[in-house]
Amino acid sequence: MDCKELAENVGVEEEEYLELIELFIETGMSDLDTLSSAIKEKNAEKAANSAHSLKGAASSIGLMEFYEAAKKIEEGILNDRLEETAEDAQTLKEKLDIIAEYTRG
Amino acid sequence: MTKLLVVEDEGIVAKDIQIRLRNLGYEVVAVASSGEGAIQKAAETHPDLVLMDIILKGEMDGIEAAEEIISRYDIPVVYLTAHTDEKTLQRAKITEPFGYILKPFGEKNLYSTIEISLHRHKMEKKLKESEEFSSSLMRVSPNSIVVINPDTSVHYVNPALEELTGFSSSELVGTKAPYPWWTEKTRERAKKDLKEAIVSGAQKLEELFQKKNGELFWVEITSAPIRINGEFKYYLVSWVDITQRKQAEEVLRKAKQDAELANRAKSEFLANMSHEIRTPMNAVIGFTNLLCDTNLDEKQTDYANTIKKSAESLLSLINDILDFSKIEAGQLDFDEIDFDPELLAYDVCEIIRPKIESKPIEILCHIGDTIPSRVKGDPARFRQILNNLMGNASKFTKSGEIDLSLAIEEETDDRIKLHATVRDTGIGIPKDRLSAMFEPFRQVDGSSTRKYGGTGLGLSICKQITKLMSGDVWAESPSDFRFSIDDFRLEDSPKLKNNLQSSIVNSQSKGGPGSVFHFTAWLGKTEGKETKRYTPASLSGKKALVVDDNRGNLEIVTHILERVGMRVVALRSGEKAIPTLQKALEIDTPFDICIADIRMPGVSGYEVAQQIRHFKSEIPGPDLADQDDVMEKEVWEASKSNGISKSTRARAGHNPNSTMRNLPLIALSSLMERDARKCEEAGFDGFLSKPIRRGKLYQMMERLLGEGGDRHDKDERVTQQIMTQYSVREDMKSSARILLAEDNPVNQRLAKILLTKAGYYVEVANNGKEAVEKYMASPKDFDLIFMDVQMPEMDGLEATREIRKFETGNSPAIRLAGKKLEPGDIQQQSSIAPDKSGFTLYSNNRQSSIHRVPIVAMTASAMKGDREKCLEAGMDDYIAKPIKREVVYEMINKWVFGGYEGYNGL
Repeated sequence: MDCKELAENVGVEEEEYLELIELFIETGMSDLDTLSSAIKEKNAEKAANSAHSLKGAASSIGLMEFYEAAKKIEEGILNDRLEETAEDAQTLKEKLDIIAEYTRG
Repeated sequence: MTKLLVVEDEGIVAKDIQIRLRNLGYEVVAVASSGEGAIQKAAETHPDLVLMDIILKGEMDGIEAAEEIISRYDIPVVYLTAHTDEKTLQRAKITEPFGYILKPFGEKNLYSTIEISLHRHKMEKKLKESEEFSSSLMRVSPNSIVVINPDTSVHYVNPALEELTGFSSSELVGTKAPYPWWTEKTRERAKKDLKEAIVSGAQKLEELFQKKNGELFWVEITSAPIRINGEFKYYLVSWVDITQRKQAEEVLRKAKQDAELANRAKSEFLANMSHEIRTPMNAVIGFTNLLCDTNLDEKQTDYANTIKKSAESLLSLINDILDFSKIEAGQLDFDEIDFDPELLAYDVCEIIRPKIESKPIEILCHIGDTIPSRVKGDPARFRQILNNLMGNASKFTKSGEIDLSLAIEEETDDRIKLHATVRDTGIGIPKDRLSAMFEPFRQVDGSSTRKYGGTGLGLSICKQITKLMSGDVWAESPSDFRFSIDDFRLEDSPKLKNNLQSSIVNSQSKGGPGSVFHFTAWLGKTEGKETKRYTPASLSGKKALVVDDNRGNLEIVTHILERVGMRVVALRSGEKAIPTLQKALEIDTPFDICIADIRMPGVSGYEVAQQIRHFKSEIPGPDLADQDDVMEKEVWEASKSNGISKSTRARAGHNPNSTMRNLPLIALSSLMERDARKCEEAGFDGFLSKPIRRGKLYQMMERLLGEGGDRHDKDERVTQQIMTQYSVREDMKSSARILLAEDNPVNQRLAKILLTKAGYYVEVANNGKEAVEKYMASPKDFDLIFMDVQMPEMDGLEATREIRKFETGNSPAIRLAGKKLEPGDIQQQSSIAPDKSGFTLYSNNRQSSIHRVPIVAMTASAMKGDREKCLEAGMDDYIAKPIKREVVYEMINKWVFGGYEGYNGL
């Protein structure tokens, strides 16, 4: 993950970018929690909203891999495959952990 | 007299020579008859020249004696001989005699031979001395010297070089390049350097050479060609051994590098620390915002607001520290963007106003007439400094005035030095603390830290930033100020300068001792664009009455009006307004417009307006007065239907009552207390908040006086809507106010970073409902809305529909806007956007005529039909996420500035 390049793509300073990433991790964690519980509760609307939020934030800051994964979940939910997305949500959580570890470590 | 030694073994011949020599004027100091005798006499008498017979009696002949004398005493010898064989002659030649005289000889021959010999000997001696001189120079020189022939072979090396390199002279002389002291590595370069040096003459360079034992050493080389009779003969090269210096340099360089690394690490640590703290703070603020939007009871709301306020003040402290460490690390970047310093100054005044709250403080803003409308620099940094100085002023001032002045201090072809002065009537600064304030972590005193808060970093950051802008920031105690005001060039207005001075004296009596802060910065000039300010020609010759109890403000407004050729009468109290207007009517030079401050002791602005609107001349009889009313009504109706200015039309009737009653009136007020409805009820046509923005005042007057503005405001005139500074579209400003409706904190933050960077104001709404509320609370405050489509509570489409309904006056959500905002609410909403809550009531009354705000949709899903859905809901444009900087700026240009290019000059 090259923060400098990502920051440049987004159009902000590297430092501001790091700040955005941190914010992304914070909000992402909370969105993922909501997503997981929504999947458990079988609340498709709530789940789709969380996935959408994750997708939007990831795309804004240029985390394309994450974006694709979130998009897949959102589409899955919208196509009535809520149960199948639990695993993908777990993968997303792992990805976020990696990002978190990378930026904080 | 020249002394000669004669050596001749024939007594008679000797005598004869002696006589002849005397005749020629020489002194014969001695005569010898043998070789040995000659040597002895030479030693005793030190003659200038020896005349030597070759064939002598005894063991030693003349040639042998001559050899001895030449080598021992360096005395020139001339041989005298009758006849001799070839062999003897050869021998004689080897001794390098100065002359050779054959017997018998004439006196002339003798004389010329002696004289030539003496001269030659003298010359040779001189030459020898000079040679000796230069060779000893080389010998004793501590520098190593090598003399090189044109074919690169070594001609000479001095002992110092032998000692330095370990090579002996015999090892080196005759060797050609590559020389044994060149190393393998540097050979090519040395060769090139040598060649260049020979071609282009004297050189000074550093080389790494090697000794005979392989040890390396550094030399600094000086060289020069030696020309003899213009012909290149030798190349002289001198080395200074700089190995020690080089080593010391290396040590120093390394030490410096280490120190820099350590310092960078420190700064990075600080920056990271600040960053680490700032990030969770952003989350705290963001989530507190979200929390505030949930259903909280009163107590919970209070707690949440406290969290937010504390988090915000902590964040600003962290930002200070971050700025400071960035400056220390030399990492502060400066933008090069065009901006308008005048608008920036006004903006800063507006931002500061909420901080003053209800304190009786007048904010004044003096802008020099020649300040260009565009300069090139970093507006955010410029603003940061003004904010800081104005913020301090507002913090430390209880009552009186805060005055921001902007003038040109110096100007070159491509740069301009601006000088801003912030004067307040606050608690003042002790003289001995004036400079210490600008040092980091210093404040005027410990107790003020507690009373007034702050990090103590603000001013030192300002100092550093101004230095980076090739300027400075400093403070003066009030006793210095009267002196300094004379130096302070308010460039083309000596009158204004005097006024400024008097206003200072005037205001200082009201508040504390006060302080004055100066800030200077060099900025670039903008190329190509029109940088002159727009001056409305149509106002020239119009007559204005200005009423304001604040002398400083009165003078500013007067100056602004006079500058465009208006005739101005300035009054400092409301009591005199009506009599002045009346008198002007009587002598048939009526006023075209009246500008009055709302808050004045005695007769207030409201009262002035009411008196004007209900004016009844005391002179005409009752019949005439009734007629007036009828006439006026007709005129009123007429003006409504055809849009012609009522005052112009009314004056056509030459009726003093209606002329007076229809006089265009502009209210001036401080932002916090303005009440548009009250102004309107009192009869004002327009409304401006202080400090007065020049451009807005001109524009409003142009419209009210019915010239220049008709094209834009026909509709507004017909509905007789009161003008406010925000109904005069802010088409000339370079900073747009943007409402951003976005629920995701990451996107919020990113958009805020991008928009703030470009100098725009951003107000964030966390969902559609909040966006609608914020917009309805003060619709005139926003130039553009960026609306996320998918949001909780209320999505972007629905929010847009609500806003459009509200704008056209059919809003069921009107109750939302009915909630009058408290000053505290505004601060809570945003630390950047100034408070303009005074428009709440006005907005409710006048929703039918609200300007349609451009709404641009932002959405991540790029599904077909999205665009249509957005447009259907009432949006104007559409951008796809991820948010791209260029696209955002493009949208702002298109929707905010696009239609108003004609006003760029303002």
